[in-house]
Amino acid sequence: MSARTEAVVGSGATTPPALTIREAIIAGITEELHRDDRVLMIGQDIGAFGGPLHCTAGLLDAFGAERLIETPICESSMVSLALGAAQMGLRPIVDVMFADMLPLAAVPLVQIAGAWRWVTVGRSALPVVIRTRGGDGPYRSHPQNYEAMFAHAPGLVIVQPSTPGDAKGLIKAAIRSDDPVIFMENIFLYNAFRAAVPDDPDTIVPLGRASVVRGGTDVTLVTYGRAVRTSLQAAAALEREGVEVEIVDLRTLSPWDEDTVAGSVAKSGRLLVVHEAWECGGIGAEIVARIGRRSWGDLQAPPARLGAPAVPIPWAPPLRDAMLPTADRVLAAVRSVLQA
Amino acid sequence: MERAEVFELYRVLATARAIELECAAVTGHWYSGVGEEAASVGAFWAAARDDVCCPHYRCALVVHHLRGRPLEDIFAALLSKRDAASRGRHLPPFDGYPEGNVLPYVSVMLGPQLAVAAGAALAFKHRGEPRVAIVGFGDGTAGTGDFHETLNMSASLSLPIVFYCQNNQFSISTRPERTLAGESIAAWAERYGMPATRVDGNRAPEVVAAMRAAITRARDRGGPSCVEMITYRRTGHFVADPAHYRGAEELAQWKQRDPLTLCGDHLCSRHGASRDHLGGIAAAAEHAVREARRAAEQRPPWTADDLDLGGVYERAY
Repeated sequence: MSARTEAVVGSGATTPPALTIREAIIAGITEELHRDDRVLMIGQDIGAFGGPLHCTAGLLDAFGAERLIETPICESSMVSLALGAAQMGLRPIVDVMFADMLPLAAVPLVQIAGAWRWVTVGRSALPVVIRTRGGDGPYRSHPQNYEAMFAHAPGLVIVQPSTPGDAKGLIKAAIRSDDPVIFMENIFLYNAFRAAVPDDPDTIVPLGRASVVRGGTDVTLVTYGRAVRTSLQAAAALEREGVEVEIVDLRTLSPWDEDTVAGSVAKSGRLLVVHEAWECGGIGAEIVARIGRRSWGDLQAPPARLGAPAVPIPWAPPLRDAMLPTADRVLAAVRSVLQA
Repeated sequence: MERAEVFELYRVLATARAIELECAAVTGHWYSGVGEEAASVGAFWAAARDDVCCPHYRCALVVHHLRGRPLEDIFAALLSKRDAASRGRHLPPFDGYPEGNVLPYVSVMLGPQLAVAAGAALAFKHRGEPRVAIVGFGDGTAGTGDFHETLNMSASLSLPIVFYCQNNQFSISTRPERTLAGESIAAWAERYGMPATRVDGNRAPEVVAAMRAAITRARDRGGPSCVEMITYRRTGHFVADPAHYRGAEELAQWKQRDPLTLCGDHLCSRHGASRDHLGGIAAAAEHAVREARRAAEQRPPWTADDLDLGGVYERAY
């Protein structure tokens, strides 16, 4: 059992537990399963196997098979099933093993879940969370980053945390939200490090709010997921050259926190968006277009984006690494925005 | 089956085993086919050279090799070395071997490959060619909509295709009896209007006989059929998966039913083979595979400069 809810007892001074992102998500789900008996999970191999990449470790022992419903391989029907159950008062969390599989469920996600609230004129909603994992990682399989495909569809909330604290707070907010949320768990970050996580069961991180993870006045770097860590490395190197980079971790990729980004650009006058997903038609394209118009008067240089080139993600590790926005590439992109 | 053919079958089973063990030694992420060689080899044994092969991903590399892919190319691709035919763009066996009519699994999602194979069969039927598509899937994939849709479509269009289920009794950790409602996968297939049989998937000659009948039927315009091969996954989902969700006793029982041992017993009892001779065949297969890996390891790795941004579209944009 990874959720360490027992870690904090004592006389006044408490030490919050240090968890990985994976553990933090399980801890958040554990609290919500305790808090609300309408919450349940639907997925493949989420019981005795402990879930893909151990994403549900310990939950079967704690909650039993009634709350962890295992299905055959049928992503589209899993999601549709959850939508129907949500209509009838449950609050399902669907585990779609990997983000590679999200397109299998594109119709129920885009055409039912995203559209539901508006089409029904707000008379009903779909409180569903789709958990999935993606991005390149140590395991080098299932690397797809399809967030932009789903960000294109109105009505879906798309979340990707980059720290354990955010991971726990955001999964809790997602479960409590009455909107359908696609919750993307970055594989590279999954077990990469531990950090203190609030253990108060009422602490959540609100959906739709970005976080300024590093202050700076020379350039605004907007990013999410693994690229937050890469960007922090690049910013540390740039600091030695006297360049102060402000880093905004979007956390919610759609609908994204335009005010926070515009506020930062008002200060810095320069914008770079960095993500691991394809640059073409990506989240960065949307942010650059919107901020390019809204903050036209603040911008001192054309806003830019850095993402993967427009080729399918290759298997061979050296080729795949060449696709990634490494710290060196972020550095070069920041320099080009500064010089423009 | 004639004596010489069974010996050849044994040799290929031994090659399949050696490939699987070597790949498992390369990476703990390997989706091992150890113990499932008779199903995979048997499925394609009776295929003609220009029939299309879509093997189940477990134990598929021996099918690539049967269709002419050099062992060294297989290991070069797996080790991401220059200049594997798939150029580092996809992981074997998903990279396929189009030169030998082995279709790639470009997406590794389970299900779509069934209808892709049916599409190949549609092309053969449309042009009146006496070719057949052969497609494998696991018990897990039998739960997908793609399986039910494709079997129905293939039967209603009378396509020249053979579906074989490599039923190794595990969909990662999930047992078929927990998530598949039918009495068997063959029974489902039968209700979609095609002949379906269940065979011992660890007895290669039995698999070959059932597949030969199904392939002949498809070639003679008799439409699709399905062969369900009962076998057993002896590792976890991937080699490093400790598979705590299954019992040691069951595994031990299935190890007793090893497809190589069963084929060897058949050769000894029916065709007077000696254990020494069989041991020599296995040793030669292991040697060839080990040498192929060693040769592949000598090649230089791909570098970042080899990432080719062209070739995504027909013309350069």
